[in-house]
Amino acid sequence: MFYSNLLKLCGYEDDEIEREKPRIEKAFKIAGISPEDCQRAEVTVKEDFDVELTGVRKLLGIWIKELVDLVLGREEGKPVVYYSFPTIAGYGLTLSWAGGEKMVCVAPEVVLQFVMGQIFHKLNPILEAAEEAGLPPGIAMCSLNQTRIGAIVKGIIPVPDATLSSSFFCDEEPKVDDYLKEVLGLKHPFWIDNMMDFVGVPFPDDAPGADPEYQEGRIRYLGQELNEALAGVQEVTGVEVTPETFKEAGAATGKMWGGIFGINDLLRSDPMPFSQADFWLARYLITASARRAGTEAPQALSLIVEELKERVAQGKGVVEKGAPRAFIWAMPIPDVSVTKMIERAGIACPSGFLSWFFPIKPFQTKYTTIGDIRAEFEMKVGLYFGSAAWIHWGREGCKFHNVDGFLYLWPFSCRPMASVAAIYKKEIEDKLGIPVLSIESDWWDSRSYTAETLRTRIETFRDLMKARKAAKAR
Amino acid sequence: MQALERLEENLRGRAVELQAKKAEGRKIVGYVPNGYLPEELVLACDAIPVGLARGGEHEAVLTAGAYISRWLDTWCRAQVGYRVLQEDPYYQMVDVYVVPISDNNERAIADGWWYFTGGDVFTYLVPHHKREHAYKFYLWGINRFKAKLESLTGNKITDGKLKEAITLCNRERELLREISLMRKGGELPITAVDFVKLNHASFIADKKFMVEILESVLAELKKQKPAPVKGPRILLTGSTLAHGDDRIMRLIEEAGGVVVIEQFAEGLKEYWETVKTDGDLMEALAKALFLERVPPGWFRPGRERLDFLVKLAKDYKANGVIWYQLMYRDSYDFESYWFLDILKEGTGLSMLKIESDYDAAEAGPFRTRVETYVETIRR
Repeated sequence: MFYSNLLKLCGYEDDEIEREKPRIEKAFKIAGISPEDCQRAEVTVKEDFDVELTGVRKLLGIWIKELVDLVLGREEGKPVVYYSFPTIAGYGLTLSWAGGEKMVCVAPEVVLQFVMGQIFHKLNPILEAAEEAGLPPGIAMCSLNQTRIGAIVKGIIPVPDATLSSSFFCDEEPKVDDYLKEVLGLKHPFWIDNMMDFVGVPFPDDAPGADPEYQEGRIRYLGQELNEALAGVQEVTGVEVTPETFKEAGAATGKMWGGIFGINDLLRSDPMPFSQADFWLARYLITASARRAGTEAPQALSLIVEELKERVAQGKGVVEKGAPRAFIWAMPIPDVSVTKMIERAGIACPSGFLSWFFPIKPFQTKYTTIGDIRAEFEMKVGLYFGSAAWIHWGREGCKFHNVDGFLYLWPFSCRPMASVAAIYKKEIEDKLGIPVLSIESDWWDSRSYTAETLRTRIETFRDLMKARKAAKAR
Repeated sequence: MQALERLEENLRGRAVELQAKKAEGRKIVGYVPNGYLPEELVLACDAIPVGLARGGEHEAVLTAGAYISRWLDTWCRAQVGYRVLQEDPYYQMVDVYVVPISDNNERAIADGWWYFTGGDVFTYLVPHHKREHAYKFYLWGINRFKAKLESLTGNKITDGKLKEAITLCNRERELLREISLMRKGGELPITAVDFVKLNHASFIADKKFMVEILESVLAELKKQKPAPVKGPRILLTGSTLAHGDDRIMRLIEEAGGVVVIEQFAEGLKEYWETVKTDGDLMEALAKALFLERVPPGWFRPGRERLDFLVKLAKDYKANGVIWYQLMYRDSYDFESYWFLDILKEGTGLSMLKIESDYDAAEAGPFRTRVETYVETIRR
């Protein structure tokens, strides 16, 4: 079979390939993945990913399995729910867990970015399809949203039964579901609404006790939104989510988080033993609300942790020992060449936004509903709090990892991220005294912001960090 | 029109007048004019509301480039630019700048203004749908705003003062509405340029004086014989129609089109609602400004606004629609795609979409497109 070698490279067992053969072939046909694509992917996967590590191969395989489930969901008669990024991940994971194999609940655009983008390098036609379908280039449309619409328009993924999207992080993402409703006939969009505040409202960790009434009001609103959205999706899909399911899903994905934190710790070794390109394979499974984040991924991560421990013991790394270290906001997804370029340039990026969370002080919740409990947690984590929280996140991340610089690679089409770019740079430079390279990029589309366009600035930044590090050592 | 001339003369001295009032201890409350700030609350504590609605100039946008990413809405960037440029007295004199945050672009104004230029910035958060708890959240927000005003001014906002302010603002809205409705017929008593001038003036002029002016304008309009509408009737809609951004209206007029009605989320005073003065006044404000008001394009779902546009097009007997939005206001970009079909189905009309970054170089291409469109719908 034309895909066997590739799937084995991506951690599939022989009996899995045999058992899944009809589904794989059907899904690949729908997605337009040809024998030539598989042949090419065999080469590029070996170049782009650390396939020496069994755990990495398993993660690649998990993504492909998620694509197969996604593409075939409607045909197989399952309820199809599209969660989205950056909606509150834990919620989507709970739904995925509750639905199990009987439902498809995933952030399809994230799956497509990894599989059609990173593995098969066939994301561009999907983006182009979206550009022809109302999301034209030149006006800073988020390509994650283009991925969702383009894939539906091309018939790769179905129009879902329901969507759950964040109506609090950005304004584009919820409009995508408005688009699906108005143009493509989506019957049940659920928007989880909230609003993020500006940088002048301090993050509670920075200003303890400041305006508790305000925090509570925001939590209650978001909590109610979460509760109503969950109730709506349950009604549409017939899948029940109880507080027990919530705990079970939490426990399952807790194991995955354990793996991620374990890798985070190992990434602090010098030389850095693992590439961010491989790390994001793990991290984004949670972001995608992929079911396998709770089932197969924890085992893959455990393998990786053990394999990395060996590397650390042997002093092996993907970047040279003593390389300057930078906290990174995030890496472009559909093409790992930017990540590889940064690492080959000699910058170690041990951690970043989404792969590291500042420690949350233990707290006792007074809330009782799933939505309120989740809302309180998410406000403490900070992603949905507002501008001040992200700055706090980046600042704490730089301090925790004792980095030499901050590589703020921000996606130009993401208004929340774009709006704080200048502030971020100044805050980190002024408060921490480390250099910040603020680079406009695109996390979801590799056509305009490629490794080559960014190389000169990255290399210069590396030299700057090296020089400062050397001066400090003297 | 005599009333307009009086108004213009008054506005020429308004900044100096406000500086004098500020020196006497009155507080100037600047705000983002997105329809979610109840001016009534400001008036009720004896402060002076000033809607900062300026736009249309590329210099402000370019200036903002050092402080705020270019991939945000043009008008929102310009607000930071005006503040940084320090040339516009209104942008400098405010004691507090209030941003009811209803989308990320507006939040960026608050970020840039506060972080790079200092000054007191107060925000409250505006939900994106109209269910009961969203209304309550908005009500809670304006109650927090009320507390902020009382703290800023040292004056308590009593029901009596608030009712008086609501009555005054209702009258302003009523007059704007009545003047606007006069454009429904086959005659044009007032051009869009002049109507928008009045509307923009309402953000800056003294409220009682503004009501007086509107009453005079209405009286003059009722007396005069209005000119018949000669060209195609246009509904002009979009994200923001700023004070100083009258280029699109002029281009339409010069092309022979006639703007008979405008609908914008920002930059124009909302005038379709009346705030009730019986019962709980804060709830009445929230009901009118949040529940009853046609929401901006970044509400989800966004159908209410689009249906309202179809209704406006029918009520005002429009022959065409010009969708004038600013660059990178993403919600409007999305909606413009499917609104075409909704408009066609509801009215049979066509639409021209124009996007501006307030760049002077746009004038030529815009003129060509507007002229072509007006010519097309004239036939």
